[in-house]
Amino acid sequence: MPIIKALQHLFSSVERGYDPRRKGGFQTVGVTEELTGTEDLRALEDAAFYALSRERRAARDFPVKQTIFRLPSGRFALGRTVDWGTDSSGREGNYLTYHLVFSRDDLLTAGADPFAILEAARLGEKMAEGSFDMSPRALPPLAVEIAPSGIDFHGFEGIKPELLANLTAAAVDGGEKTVLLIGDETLAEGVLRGVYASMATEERLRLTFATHFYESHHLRSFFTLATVRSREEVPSRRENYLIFDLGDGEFPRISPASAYAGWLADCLHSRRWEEIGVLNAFLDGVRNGRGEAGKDALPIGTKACAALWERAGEKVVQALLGDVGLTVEFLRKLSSSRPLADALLAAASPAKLCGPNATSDAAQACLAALRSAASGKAWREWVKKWRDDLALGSFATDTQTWWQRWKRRNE
Amino acid sequence: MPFFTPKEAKERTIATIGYPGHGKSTFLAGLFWDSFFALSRSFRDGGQPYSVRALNEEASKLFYGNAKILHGGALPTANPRNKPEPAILEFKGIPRANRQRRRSIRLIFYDVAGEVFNDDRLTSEYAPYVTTAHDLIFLFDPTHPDFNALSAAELVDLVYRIARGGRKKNIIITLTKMDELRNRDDWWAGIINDLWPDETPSHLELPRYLEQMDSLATMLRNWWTDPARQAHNLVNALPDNTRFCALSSLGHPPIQVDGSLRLTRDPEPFRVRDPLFWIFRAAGVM
Repeated sequence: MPIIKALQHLFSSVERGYDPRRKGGFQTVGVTEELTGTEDLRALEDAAFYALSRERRAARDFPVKQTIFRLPSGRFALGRTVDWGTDSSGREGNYLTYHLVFSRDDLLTAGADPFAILEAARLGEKMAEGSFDMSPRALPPLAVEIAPSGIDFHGFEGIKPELLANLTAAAVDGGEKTVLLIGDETLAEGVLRGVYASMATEERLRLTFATHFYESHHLRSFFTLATVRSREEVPSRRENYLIFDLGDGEFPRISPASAYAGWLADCLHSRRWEEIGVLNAFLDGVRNGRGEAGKDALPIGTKACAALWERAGEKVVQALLGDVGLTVEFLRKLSSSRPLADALLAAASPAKLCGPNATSDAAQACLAALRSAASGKAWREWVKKWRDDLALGSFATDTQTWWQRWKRRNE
Repeated sequence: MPFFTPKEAKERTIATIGYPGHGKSTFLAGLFWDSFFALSRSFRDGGQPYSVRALNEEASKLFYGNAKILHGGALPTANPRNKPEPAILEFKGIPRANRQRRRSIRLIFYDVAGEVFNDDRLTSEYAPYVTTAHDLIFLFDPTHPDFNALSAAELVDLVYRIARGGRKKNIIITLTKMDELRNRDDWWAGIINDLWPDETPSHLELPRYLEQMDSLATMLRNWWTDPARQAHNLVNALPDNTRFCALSSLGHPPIQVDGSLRLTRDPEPFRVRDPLFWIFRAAGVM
């Protein structure tokens, strides 16, 4: 189980905070020294915002706000904010925010699942302790041991497949508008967990969110996705948001901008959960050098091939080497297969490309597909370079025109 | 009926400025409460009656929301650090001393967290409206442990730095929580006690009330420069036309119940209208 390092940040309304020059009020209470005086700390303080409607406060309905967002340094902050009763002057409306700050690499090592990391760090338990230490102080870095989390799509139960497909496409591609999810917080968190589960690790880093966004329009730049409980909590500037309503099922139609989003939306629409798991595991494997997990079970539909090529490019080329069947499928399925064909030719010899176990027919089919897809120049140079390669020899002989064979004999 | 008549309506931006816990939000709540419940009753003697109206959703949330909170016996909640939206109130039927004609005005308020006045950057970022504001109301709680001439002057200087280059300001220096101060054993507490309880003026009583505001402002200027406060430098650095006020937004101190502050009865604001009347006078509508 990976252990990753987290810098800590605590924010609340206190009489005296970490900076002795500041008067009472909302401020940093505790922080790891590495963060002091940085732009990251300013961003953490800005994002540590929690407001509640008068009705919810009167009903003592205090949601927990969970967040993940990118900091100016490129690090990521995961946060949990809870109502914290009264401030030092006895006024209600105090809250406590606990942030953990991770490097991008550590977050990737941990699988970039913010819910799993927040649970592993036990922030909820720590903040629920009645004797939580609110004295101003420097906080040491925290070691967080991450348990492997399974892929859990339970949060999608009861949600329209069309809504999920469009929501995920919007979340994956991002864009100028913030995705706004309206629904009961538990339901919305389940959906959000499902969205994370449906994404490969690196793709998860693009998705930042806040699970309680009431009165938080000014924090829009921090989050690609935000949730509010009801339409009454939707920011007034609605034109800045893509609104998905889990209650009445209303959602905008999104045209996926990337091949990955298109494939994922298609899978979610037709509930192909297994395919999602296999392709993402393969992507994660080839990206982090842990091998080509699940290569044999890889989906080879048009959208899946396009998604893999778009997201893993060169890594896909390496994975295809020696697997003529898969290579042919990719070359056939990609709408624009020339870049892949050229990359394959540039990466390997005919023998390596076809592998030791390929039958003659399969090798011929693979080379034919390559020749058909590759640019003329790349193919000619490749053939010239590997003309003595046995795997190429028979194919070249079979496919040479009479004048090519005549020319070669006389060379 | 239209909400306002643009030709007649004047518009001013008001910035309430103060450290956390010095009574900014409660002041705005008390100000609305006073206009809604007291002035609307007293300014009915001839001419268009006085009224206040929330002109946008933010004003509705801020002013009606806080009034409902007060009505329920609670206090406005602590403001989180946020860039506040403008909350616009329209005041109609504002009487002028010794004249029959009534005027209208729209005032734009911002209710901001006090900690944004901790440093220049936060003030510029979260309270940029101080630059364009017509009226700056500084609120100081003299019973607060942090209160002294240095911290007060530091806040005024900070806002001066941010607002420098903006339009000319009408500055109002206000002492809050007079309900607590009036029980102290000194000459100043006696003056406050003499004015207590608050009496809402009628149209006919308005000239006398305005004269009282003038003399109170002079006395308060002296309060600041009293040897106990030693705020000569603060007062000397302020423009000559700076107004001084003293008020209690609630009229009585809240009590602690299970760790929260609660009101024992409805608010009975004391002179909370004085800063508003100074603004009306600066705008030429009173």
